Amino acid sequence: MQPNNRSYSVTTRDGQRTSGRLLNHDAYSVQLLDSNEQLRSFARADLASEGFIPSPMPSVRGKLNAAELADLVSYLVSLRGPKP
Amino acid sequence: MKMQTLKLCLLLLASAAANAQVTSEQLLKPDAQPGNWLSYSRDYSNQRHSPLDQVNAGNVGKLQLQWVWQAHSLEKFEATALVVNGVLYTVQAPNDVVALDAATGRIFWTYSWQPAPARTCCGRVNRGLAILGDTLFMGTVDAHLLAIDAKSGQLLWDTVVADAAAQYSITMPPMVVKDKVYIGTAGGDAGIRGFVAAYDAKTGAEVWKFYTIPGPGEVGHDTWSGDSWRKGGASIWNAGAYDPESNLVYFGTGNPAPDWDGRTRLGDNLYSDSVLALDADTGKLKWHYQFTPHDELDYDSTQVPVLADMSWQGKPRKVMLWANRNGLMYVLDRITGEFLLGKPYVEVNWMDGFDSKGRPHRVPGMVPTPQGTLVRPHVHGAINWAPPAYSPKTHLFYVAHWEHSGIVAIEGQFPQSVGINTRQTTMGDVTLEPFLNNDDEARGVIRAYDPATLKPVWEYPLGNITWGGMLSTAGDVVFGGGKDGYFVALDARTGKLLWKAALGGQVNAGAMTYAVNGKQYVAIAAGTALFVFALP
Repeated sequence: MQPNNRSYSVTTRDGQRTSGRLLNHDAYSVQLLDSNEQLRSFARADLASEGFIPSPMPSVRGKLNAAELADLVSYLVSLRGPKP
Repeated sequence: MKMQTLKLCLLLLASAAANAQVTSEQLLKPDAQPGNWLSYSRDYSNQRHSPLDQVNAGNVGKLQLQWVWQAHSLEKFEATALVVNGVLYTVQAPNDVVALDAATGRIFWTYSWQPAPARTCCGRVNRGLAILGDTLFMGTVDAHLLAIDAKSGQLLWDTVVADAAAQYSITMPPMVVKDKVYIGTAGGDAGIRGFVAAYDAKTGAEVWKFYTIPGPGEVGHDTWSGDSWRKGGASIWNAGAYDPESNLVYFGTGNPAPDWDGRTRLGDNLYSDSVLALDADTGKLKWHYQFTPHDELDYDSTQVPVLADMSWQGKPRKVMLWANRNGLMYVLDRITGEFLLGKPYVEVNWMDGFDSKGRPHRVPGMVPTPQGTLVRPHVHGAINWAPPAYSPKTHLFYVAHWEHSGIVAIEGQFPQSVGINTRQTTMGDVTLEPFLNNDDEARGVIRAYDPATLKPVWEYPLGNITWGGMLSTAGDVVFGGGKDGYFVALDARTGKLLWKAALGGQVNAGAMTYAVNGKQYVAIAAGTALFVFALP
């Protein structure tokens, strides 16, 4: 999985937890697109903890058979947006 | 595959959709969100006046640099940023969109558009973005209009506005009104036929298109001799305005082409060098006013229209203020187009008065010739595209412009500056240069004008000419800058210098201001970087 698609979580010193896609970070700050699709920036000095977390997407193991999974992947691959 | 299963999977793949962050109602009432800056000039009137007053005339001298963002570009930085709920969006020329944390300058994402080869007259520049909902809009130098997801930086749609190979390009910020995005193109110097068009904000489909040069059978077509209308220019390449009450959108148009030789396009050349008032829904022309009929001096009228409600001769009036490249300043009735007042604000020698309808009386012989003609103002004008400001508190109109003249000659198809002011032909640059001009040559100035009389109230001289715009705030401070790289804060009522910063690169944009978590910031582009200041 690409790093910018991995889930990341930060918890501020007052206990507020935010998770989302990690977009950027540096020595002093962390930038996320959170699970509510808000762009968020945190000062590391305000954080009690942070780190990658397991993906919130439930596993499809056992829910789709091999053919269904192939169909799904085929459909997703067929999606085309405007050229980048 | 079962549809139910597919839907489940797609739902799992999708993130929770957030509420749209900028509604068309919010664009109508930007004062309800004073910390945001939601469009090129903050509001549809283009007053570039912010109600924020944390930074004011009493404390602006304590401003400190908060962060700098360096663009990966050597093009001029002409964009004014947008700020929405703590996220700053700007353009890295020519056409990369960048989302930054407005408090720290850290990058959230960058969207990069690689434009096809395109001819632009004056640099591969871009002046900014528009937003509606969660979608950003940008015109590109290869004449596309793009919609980009403001949260993810992903391209949503791409509409070809015009053919870049035919010399069309886009440098202006789009304007959003209700559910439409308005855009025009540059290319007037290259002989395009100008237009402005409205596109559906959701799909990018064209809704209407208004050609700035009337075609056969249309009113005004007979103001072009022969087939000159086909490549007559009159492009729209700078920000427009909108009056919600009358539902009119306003755009200024550029010079007729060829720029400096009118012998092949006899007539007034409508609607070049004009302001157009169009029905926002249909694009139907309601009125026009032509500032410079049959222009042969490249006096584009693409300056940003400034709308104000003021007392005019004792009665309330909805006016449009216009500091034109041709050296004249105007007050028009923005509902009817009536000419209310016009007068030179710099030395002007190409006209010597107006008739009762506001048509300028030309001085014979003031056109480029092979021998050279001393023209005031020079082809670069008294102002070019940089946005002015208006304060509803002080009722003053703030304009950064320059005074100069030059001798213009035609050599082949392109004019040459000869005689004095030969160094004043640059269309702006990025880096600072030694300033060695003598007293005869151009100088820049920031002036406050009384819109009721168009007389200057105060003046702040700049060391060099300026391509920088103006910002006014409720803190009674106006901000401006110039080619010498200084960013200055002036007392809005007196013009007294209150603070300055040397930014090491030319100021080629207008400043803007916003607030995050109760703290006011002031942002200005200079050189190839964006500088952001705030109180300690």
